[in-house]
This record gives sequence, structure tokens and C-alpha cells, in this order.
Amino acid sequence: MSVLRVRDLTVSFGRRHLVAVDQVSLDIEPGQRLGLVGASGSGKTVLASTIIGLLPDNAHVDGSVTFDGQELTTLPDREFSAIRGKDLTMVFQEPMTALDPTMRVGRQAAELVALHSESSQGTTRQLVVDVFDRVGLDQASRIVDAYPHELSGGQRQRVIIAMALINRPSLVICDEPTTALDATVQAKVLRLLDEELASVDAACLFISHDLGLVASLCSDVAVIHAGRIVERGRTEQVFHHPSHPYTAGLVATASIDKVRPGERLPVIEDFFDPSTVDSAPPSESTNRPHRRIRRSR
Amino acid sequence: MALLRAATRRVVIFLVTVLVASAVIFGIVQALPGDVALATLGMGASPESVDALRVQWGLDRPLALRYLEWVVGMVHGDFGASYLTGQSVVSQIGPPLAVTAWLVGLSMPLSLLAALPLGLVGAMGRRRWFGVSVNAATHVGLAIPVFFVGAILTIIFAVKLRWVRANGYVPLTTSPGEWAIRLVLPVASIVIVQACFLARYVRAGFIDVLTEDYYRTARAVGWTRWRGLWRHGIRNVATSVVTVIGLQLASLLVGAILVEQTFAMPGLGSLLVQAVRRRDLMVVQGVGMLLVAAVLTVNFLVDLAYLAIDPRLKRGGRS
Amino acid sequence: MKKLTVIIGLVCSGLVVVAALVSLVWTPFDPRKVDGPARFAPPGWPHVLGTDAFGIDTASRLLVGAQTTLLVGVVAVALAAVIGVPLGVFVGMGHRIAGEVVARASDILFALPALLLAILLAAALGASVTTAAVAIGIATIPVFQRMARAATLTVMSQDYILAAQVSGIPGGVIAIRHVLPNITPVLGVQAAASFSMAILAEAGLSYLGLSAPQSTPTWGRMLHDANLYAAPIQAVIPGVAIAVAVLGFNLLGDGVRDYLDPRMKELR
Repeated sequence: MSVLRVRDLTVSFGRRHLVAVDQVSLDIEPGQRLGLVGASGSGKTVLASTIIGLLPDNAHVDGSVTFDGQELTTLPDREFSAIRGKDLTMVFQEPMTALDPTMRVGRQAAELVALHSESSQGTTRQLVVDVFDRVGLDQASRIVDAYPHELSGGQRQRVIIAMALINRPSLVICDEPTTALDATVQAKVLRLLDEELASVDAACLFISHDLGLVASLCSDVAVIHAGRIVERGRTEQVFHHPSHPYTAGLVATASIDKVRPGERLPVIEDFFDPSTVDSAPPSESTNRPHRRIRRSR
Repeated sequence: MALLRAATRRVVIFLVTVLVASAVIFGIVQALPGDVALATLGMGASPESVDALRVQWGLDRPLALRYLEWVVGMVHGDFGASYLTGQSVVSQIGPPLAVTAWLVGLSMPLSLLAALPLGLVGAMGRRRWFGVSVNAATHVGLAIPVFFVGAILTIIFAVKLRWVRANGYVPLTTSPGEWAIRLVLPVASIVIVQACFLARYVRAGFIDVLTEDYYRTARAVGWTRWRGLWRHGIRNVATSVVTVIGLQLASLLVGAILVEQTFAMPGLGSLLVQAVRRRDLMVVQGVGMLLVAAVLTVNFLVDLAYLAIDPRLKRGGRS
Repeated sequence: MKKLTVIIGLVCSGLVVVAALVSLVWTPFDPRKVDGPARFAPPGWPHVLGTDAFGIDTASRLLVGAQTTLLVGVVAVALAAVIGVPLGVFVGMGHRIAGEVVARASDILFALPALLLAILLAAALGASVTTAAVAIGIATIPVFQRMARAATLTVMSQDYILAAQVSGIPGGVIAIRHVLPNITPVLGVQAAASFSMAILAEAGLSYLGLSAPQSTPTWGRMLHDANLYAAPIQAVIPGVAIAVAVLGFNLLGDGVRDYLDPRMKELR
């Protein structure tokens, strides 16, 4: 049985029902890693937020999302919260702001364990240290007592990955987990994610605009454009023999090393005419309705 | 080390501020061109008798000297003596201070207690009917003067229902029951207005958190809406409420002055108003200084507490 | 929702202004005429809102009371703005020592709420409408100073200011030509909010008997003089009037701010 089963999912926002996700269906089998690729504004993050049930109040959801056989779209918040962070977890894009600045990181992780079990404080701390250690945080026993601002971006992202894995989930949603990190750290965090997902045997929905990352991590890939899944299949198959012109464009623009010096860089429009898609792409504001520009503290 | 230096800096600023405040108060009360002696004796008094009174009260001596005496006296706990009665100001302040201290001391925590749920609901439901109505109610509550709230409560509970007596004050030591009964309405009046005032800060603090990425993280790890907001929002709200606590004390004192009048309570406010009517300058000056010093002290303590609370400051790390 | 706020604000503050204007030319009765037999008349006819303990017509007193309310508000806010805004702009345009001094002075004034300052002034000069208005105005200076300073800092970070500075335009000219016009909307919003705070403070002062003389009708004094046992309605009427005035100007300020500040809009 599939861990996650999405059927005819449509998500729209506001009174004008701006459609961000349009008739999407997909399945993830236990342990399977599915890459979800698309440009920004294509509906990737909205899809992820819908699955984990964190859409803003003004969203309308149609269709069905079942997780371990349980329907999520109509699940009350209290029952959903019991699944979130335990069996279904998420790694976010922004490690700099995803942790509460006023709380020690170890405590934030310990809370998450306590929230979903009845284990005692003492053993929880040891568990947190162990997991921090596993995700490659040096001196884990000291880092548990650190505040987020005392850690680097890479360290914070490791903390967040640790938090996503600590309860041995069956599905982890990763939303551009390495985009905010610099290149060397990116590679390390990615390898770590690869190993740790395997060690807890978790399935993964890996969201990215970076085809290279998806190819290195995922067995299968789905391409999303303007809220619709335009292509889906085994990773090599999709990337080497794209059947949809949009995918072909994505692949070509990603392989810059194949461009001969002096030649114009390819753009997606060389392969794909957006006007042939009947539904208008959703506006940028519906993409991440939770976010706003923040002044630094 | 940086912490010590920052603390020292704040102490120095605090002391200077209090000193300047005392000069301002003294300046307003004593240096402005109103003549107390003349006002006391009335317009028909002979110039000789006015002069005699000025000499008797020491008003003929230079301002600076009188200010210095006053300040030095206060440092030693002596606030001077009333020109009119010769009674020492300190002895007059004592009993009313207890009344006002009870009023303010009870109102402050209670209004905070009331403001927390109001602000939480207002933030969580900011796009729904229940949050919007709570928010509208706090708006209206802010517009109602505290003495009008007192009057309404009196009309309802003392006049119509006759549940409580709405006048005067009985010390706790004399009769705890009477003490409580007479404090209920005054404290309730202040709390209603203050809770509305604080609820707006609490609401803003929680709304800030709702838009933060770390609230989304909290939701993603399995906190329910309300518990997650409480757990991860309360610190943020605490810091923003602590910031306004000095301001709050100032408005609580104003509330106390007014409410004492409504309920005929012999507190500092009543003493102050009575002293102003009699133009008893030393008393006005002394009570005024006491109230201002209280507010400044609370602000100073808040400043110090900030040094202790903020993890970014404490560890001297990047912010 | 936002529209509703502005409409309620306009109606409430409009009512107060109209009451004050009408009372200048007409009141139903003489607002000072004592009429013993008519004391504590309930609302009805000819005394629409009843009479007080001296038999004076409440409706007439209410109308005239609006004058003092508005007068004190206008004088206090004007005084605070005239002193506070230039100070804030001056500090905001970058004078560090002056900035520190002004900030500390503001701290002291913040510890001296309008009511307390007015009480001190009344002790020295005697209670009057002028004392009340001046005291409230002085106590409001720091609010305008801080607001003007913050707004000025924002304006000063704009490129056109840099351009003006580079081309050698003196600071005073920049302040008047570029800074002031840009911070005016923010200050307008602040003025409305401060206006309602001033009304509240004046009501408190006249309630304590430290504003207008006994013979001048004010809402605060009406509330103070009301007999809660014999005629509670006589306390409710001026109380509601104060609340309406305060709420009106508050909502007006809020509405304008929401209109000006898109970020606030998003939060509602």
C-alpha cells in the first residue's frame, strides 16, 4: 500500500479562487523517494503545505490526500497534529528562520519527542544528543544547549533534519532543503539526508528546482508546471528522454556545461511555449502566503 | 564583561534621569510664576503679610538652595514639611501609599492575566468573527475613561444589585473582608481598561509569531494551532509586554488617581488632588516625585531584565 | 471591515464637532441656568436628556462640553506637534549627541503622564483649561518626537536625499523640502491618535476638577457631579460622550493608517 496517495488535488486561494495546484495525483510507496521539480511559483510548495496540512486560512482544497490509508484533507487539527512531526515530517527551505530564536535547539528537538511519546526527560536528552551526533553535528552534547543564532546555516539545517528524522517517520517532505546553503555545505547535507533517510527507511517527497539534486537523490521524479504534473517516471527515463516539452526545457537549461562558449544560453521558452497551457500560472503572492519580508533583528 | 559595562551604563543613566526628573518637578512646582503665599492669603492680603509668610516658609531664599535642600533631604528619606500644616510630607504619604500600592499591585498582574487570553484569541481569530469581535471590544474598552467604568460598575453592583459597598477603604489589618469588598470595584475598573490596553500588545506579539517560519516549524512537528502559538509565542509576547510595563505603570498610576476619586479612596491620588486644591506645594512635589521615580525605576529594572533575558545579548554572540 | 472602521470613526468624531459648532449658536436651554424644581428630571420633554442635581439641562451641557473637549485636544496636539516634530526631524537627520539628550528627555516625559504633569502645573499656576491643554500638549511631545524621528530616518535612507546632500543643498532646505512632506501622512495619523488621548486626559482632569472652572460645563465634570444613586443616567450620558469622542478619533487615525500602510493592511 502507498504511504501517500494524492488524488485529483486542487488548491486555490482567496475569494477569486486563484488556482495554485490543479488536479494533481501522485503516489509514494514505502521507502520510495519522489522528486518534485518545477520553477518557482509552479505550485510545489503549496502542494507540500497541503499534504502536511499547513495551508493558510484562505485556501480551498478539493480532492483527496491519504496518508497510511487515512484521509488528511478533512482531518481535524488535533488528530492531524498527532501525525505531524511523528509519521509525517517536513524539512524547510529556510534554516535561518525555521527555529524559535528564544529556545535552545536541543529543547526544541526534545519537545518534539515528548510531544509524540511518554518518554522521560533524561532519556529524551540522550536521544537528542544521539540524533544530533548522527546528522554530523560535532560536539552534539554542546550544540543541544545552543541557541539558533549561535549556529551556522549548515548546522541549523542539520538540526532541522535531525528533528524531521528523530521520530522515525514514514514520509519526510523536503522543501528545497539545501537552497539556502552554500555549495560545499549543500553537498554534505544532501549526502547526510540520503544516508539518514535510508537508515530510518523513510519515504521522501523531495521538492527542488535543481535537477541535479533530484537526480542524485531520487529514484522517481514528477515535473510540475503551473500547478499541474506534466510528466512523471523513473528519474533517468524522464531526464534522458523527456516526453513533455517543458521537461525538455528544464533539462536543457540545467545542463549549462553542455553549452559551447560563445553560444547563447538556452531558456525554457526555446523548448516550450507557456501560452499553450490553458490555465494561467498562479500569481507569485499565492505561492508562499505565509511569508513576508522581515527586517533583521 | 560587556554585560557589566552595559549594566553600569544603565545605572548611571538611571541616576541622572531621576535627578533631572526631580529638577523638572521642582521647577514646575516652585519656579513657575505662581505665588503660593499670595494665593494662600488671598488677593486682599497686605504685601507685608505676604512677605512675612514667604520668609516663614523660606520662599525668600534662592531657588537653587531650596532645590538642593529638597534633593538632599529626599536622599535621606525626608521629603520636607507641608507649608500649610508644618506636618512632614513623609508622614502624610504613608497611609495613602498603602492604598495606592494595593490598587496598582493588584491591578497589574490581574490585567496581564486578562490580557493574555484576549490577545491570544484576537491574534488567532484575526480573520474570523471571534477574533475580530474581541479586537473591536478592546478598541472600545480603550476609549472608555477608567472613572466611567468605575461609575458603571458602581451603578450595577452597588446601586442596583447592592452586592458591594462602593466607597472608602478599610485597611487589610483592620478587616480583611471589608478590605477585599471595597477593593473589588476599583481594581476591576482599572483592570478592565488596562487589560484592553495590554491585549493589543499581546495580540500584536502573537500575530508576529503566526507569520514566523518557526511557528510553521512548530506546526510541522505536531503542535496544534493554539498550543503551538502559546508555546512558541509566549516568550515573544513576554518581551513585548515587558517593554511597555513602565508605560503601563504610568497609566496604572493615572488610573489609580482617577479611580480613587470615583470610590472616595484615601490614596496618593486623593492626597495629590487635595494638596493641589490647597496649593500645598511640598506635598504635591513629594508625591509627584514618588510617582515619577516609581515609573523610572520600573523602566530601569526592565532595561536590566532585558540584559538578562535576551540570549543574544547574554552570550555576546551574533544577532 | 476597514471601510466600516473609517465610517464609524467619521460619524463619531463628526458628531462631536457638530455638537460643538451647534452649541456656539444654539442650545436647547441655558447650560448654566439653575432650575431647582426640575432637578433630576429623567430624559423626556422638554429636557431631552434630563437634568442634573441643579436642574440644569443635560443636553445643553453636553453640547457645550464638546467645545472644551475639542479646544483642549486641538491646543494640546498643536503644541505637541509644533515642538515635537522639528525636534524629531532634527534628531532624525543625524545629530548623535542631541539625539541622546532628546531620547533621555523623552524618557522623563514618558514617566510623567499628561494627567500627572497637569496636576503639577495646576498646583503652581492654578487649574484652568489653558493649564490642562498645555500640560497635555507637553506630555505628548515625546510621542511626536519619536514618530517624526523614526519617519525621518526612513526618508533619510532614500537615494534622493543622498543626491540632494551630494549636490550641496543645506540640511534645513532638505528638511523642509524633502523630509517634512514625506513624513506628514504618518504625523497626521499620529495627530488623530494623540487627539483622542488628549480628550481622555482632559476628561480625567475635569473629572478631578483640575480643568475648566466650575461654571464651564465639561463632560468630565458632568460625570463627577452626577449622583449615581439618584440619577445614574446623568453619569452614563457624559461617559458615553467621552467614549464616542475618543473612539471616533482613534478609529479615524487607524483607518487612515491602514489606508497608508500596506503592511498593516496585510496583517488584518
